[in-house]
Amino acid sequence: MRDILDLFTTPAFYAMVLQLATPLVFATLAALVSNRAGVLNIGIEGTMVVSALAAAIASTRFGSAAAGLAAAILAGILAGGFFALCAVRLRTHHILVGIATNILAAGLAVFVIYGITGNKSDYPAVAIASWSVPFLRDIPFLGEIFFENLHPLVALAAVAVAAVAFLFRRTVLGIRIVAVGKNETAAASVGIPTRRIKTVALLIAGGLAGLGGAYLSLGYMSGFNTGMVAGRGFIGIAAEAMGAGHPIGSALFAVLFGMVNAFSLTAQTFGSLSIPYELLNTLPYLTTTAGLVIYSIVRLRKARPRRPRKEKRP
Amino acid sequence: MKRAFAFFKRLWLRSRPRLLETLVEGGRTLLAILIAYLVAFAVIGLVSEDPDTAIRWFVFGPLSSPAELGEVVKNAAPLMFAGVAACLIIRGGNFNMFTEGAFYVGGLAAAVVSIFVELPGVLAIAVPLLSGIAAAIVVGFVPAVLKEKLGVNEFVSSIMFNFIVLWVGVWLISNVVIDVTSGDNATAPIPDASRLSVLVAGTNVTTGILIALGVAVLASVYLFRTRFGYRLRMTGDNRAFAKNVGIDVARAGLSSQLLGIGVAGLGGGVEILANYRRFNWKSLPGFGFDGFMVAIIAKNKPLLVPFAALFIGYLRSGADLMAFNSDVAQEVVQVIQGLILILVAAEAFFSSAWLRSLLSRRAFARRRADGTEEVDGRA
Repeated sequence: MRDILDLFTTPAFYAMVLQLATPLVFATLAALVSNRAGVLNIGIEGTMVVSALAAAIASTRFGSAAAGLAAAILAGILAGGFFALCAVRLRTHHILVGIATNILAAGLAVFVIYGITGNKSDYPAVAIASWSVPFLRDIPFLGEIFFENLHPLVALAAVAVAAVAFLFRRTVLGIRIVAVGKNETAAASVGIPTRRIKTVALLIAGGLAGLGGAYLSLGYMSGFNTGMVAGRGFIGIAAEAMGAGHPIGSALFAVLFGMVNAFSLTAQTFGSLSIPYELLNTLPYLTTTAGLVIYSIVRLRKARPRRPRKEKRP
Repeated sequence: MKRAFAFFKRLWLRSRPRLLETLVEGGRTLLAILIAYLVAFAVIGLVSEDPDTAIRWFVFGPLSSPAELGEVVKNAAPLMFAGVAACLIIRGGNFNMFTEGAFYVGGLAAAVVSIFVELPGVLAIAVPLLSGIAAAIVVGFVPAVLKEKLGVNEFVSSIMFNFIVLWVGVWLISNVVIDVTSGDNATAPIPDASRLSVLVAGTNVTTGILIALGVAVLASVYLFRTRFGYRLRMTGDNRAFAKNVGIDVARAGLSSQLLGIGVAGLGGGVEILANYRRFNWKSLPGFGFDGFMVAIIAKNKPLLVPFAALFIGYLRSGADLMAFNSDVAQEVVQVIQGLILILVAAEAFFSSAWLRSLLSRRAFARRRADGTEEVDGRA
């Protein structure tokens, strides 16, 4: 028991939480932007796979991590564009587009790796260097968590949360996205180009998921591996649902899932806790399910009293 | 003779109004497949040193010998179970992805029961399969009931359950039911009495395919010829309406999900008893997601599922042969599958509604003015 308590007082644990939470935060934001536009974007998982691979390939080809990052964002936006083309233009049901995106992405990733390297699972990458902020890193405890060996994408995740919050609070585009998501007919009737707005939202979501993918292969690990996304896109969707569409709340749930993930990884080394690692691996998924259940119960409770009921999202 | 004539006349009269629609639907499915193939050929042409050989194996390889045709059927069998399962679930208006986990649970339970319970005769096969169904339903009950009673998004929760099931299963086969003599994290060998026998000599086609076809017929009868199936479809088509006419929608939704999961569990059991010596799955088999694709190609009709599954089985066999005989990885098949899924399910792709809207500009203008082009959520 001691070592569990010790764990929660060491800054290294919280630094690890930040690392594991970062891809989840990006996935959550991607889910949020597309969900606000009325599209449940299951394809985030596949988008992350594609962009993580694009990041790895571009970073080794050009020998620069920045090129990898750019390629990941581009790949994410392209995947978002593909999703938009299918869901908005061809009017395929968005869940089916998502499933297809994930199938395509998984197949394409293996196919491309095999074509380049001849193996079917791994691809090396040039990682983005971590960075220690001078002076701030000397703050006791907090400095060690936030400013020692800070990965630029971890910082960018925090910025992205703020940016998405700003988008929906203060910009015309954000408000139009919400309008389209709430009631497409009403939005169209006041002259909002609904298809274009949806497409833009999906492109933004793709870019955000691309950043998440980039972090996986250029930060969390330096290299691509076919199983590395491991349901993070789906966990992002769950975090978004629990945050009820608020950027900061959703991001906090993403961090919570990151914490569970960090715990399940570190708890394997504990002597006092003899839980096999396979069972600890289920922890993030169990907490996600539990979180969804709690969220639904709270929503059911809220739905009763006099306040006008929230639109049930698809 | 006269009665037969009357029967066919009735059939004709009944189907005539829908004939055009059926033709268009069939045509666009073929067109979707054609486009997907062209894209795949382009991809193969890009990466391969010898695209000719690759494409030849891909397209004609599965048809080259009875044994290869047998591989097609063998690959199609689990897809039939998965496809029927997905039909039942989609018809009920849900996107429960636990069919994936159900394959794992069903396979594991069937393997374990067959190893630890010795039974005579047919029971040695029936009991493991039934326990596979039961185990899948027991686990799958959780996400299904959470959806119907609390409104928990079944898509996300069922995917979480897939991962949970996978890790618990991996733990079981590497600690509890492990056979250390296998040199692998796997169960003990499945006894011969429990293995499904080969149906066509000289191929890998087992009696599992008969079970799959039987399940497809039963599911079709259930969906279209019983009152439960009617309730289920009505709930899926319009939940609010079904509720208002007095259907217990929670029950209909639950039964659709549990039936689908049960079929998938059976599929997992059949797959293991037919094609595996030991249970050793360390990742999810992927049949669950494939099943949704098969169901969409089959227009959510269980009787069409075997054809769609055979087609995908043919694709897979061709891809395997191509990977074996050329420098192209078989994953190109996933590209084809993804594209077919999107195009077949696309409402605006060469559909009768789309054709009509092209023909009538007024309808088109009206649609634009509405701004809503979502017809109905379901594909």
